[in-house]
Amino acid sequence: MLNIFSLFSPSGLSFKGQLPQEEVVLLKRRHWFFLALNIFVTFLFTFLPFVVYGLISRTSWFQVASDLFWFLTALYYLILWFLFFYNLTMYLLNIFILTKQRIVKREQLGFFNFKEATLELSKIQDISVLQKGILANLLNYGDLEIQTAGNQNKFLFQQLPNPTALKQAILNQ
Amino acid sequence: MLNTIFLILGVIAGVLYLWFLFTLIYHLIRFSIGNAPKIIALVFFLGSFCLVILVIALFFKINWQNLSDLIVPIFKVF
Repeated sequence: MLNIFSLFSPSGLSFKGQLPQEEVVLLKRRHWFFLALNIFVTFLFTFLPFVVYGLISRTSWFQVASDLFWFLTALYYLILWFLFFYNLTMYLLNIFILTKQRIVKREQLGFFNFKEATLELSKIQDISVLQKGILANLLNYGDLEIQTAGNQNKFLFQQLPNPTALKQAILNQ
Repeated sequence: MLNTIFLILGVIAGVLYLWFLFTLIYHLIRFSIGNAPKIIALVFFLGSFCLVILVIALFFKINWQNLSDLIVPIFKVF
């Protein structure tokens, strides 16, 4: 019998397009700060109906239009709920995967719109770490620029957490 | 009249929302890695379900006659 809840059982770090016998060494997403920023902005917007309520609740026509106001407020929260999860999905689907053979960069640009780049570890010539600004240094995030042999010259992975350790992990493979 | 216009708009918006709901859950389940995104998809679905029920309930609570009495005089000015 098909168990629908098996969907939520731990599935390991397998990914679409994974080669047979390919082992995932590590998986990284953008630094958590960028997700926290999204959560914070959404949190700020949750207060907007309260502000509007404070402004219009004492007007004479509010008693008549109060039902409409609560309906629009619920609709607003429905849209906000969707936008929050849309941003969360984009965060979760933008991934950097290091396997024993290659690096996979998957960039989700929107619904049904993604860019995937792979890079063989044997073709790596040089890896640079770029950390620009106070925030990047304080929170320890930055970009990884990988120079390769062949016609694909540079690979750039942006806003990764702890890029120096990541560079070391790549070099250790 | 006002009721019907909003009802039509609501049905169109509802169908659009259902499409976006499906797309987001599809992306989280189909393309994500690991277990956490699937649980997030479930939370999103349950939250959306509750909010949609709330929106529908509040829509049918609106007294359109009173609103018409409030809005129509404003349009008569123009």
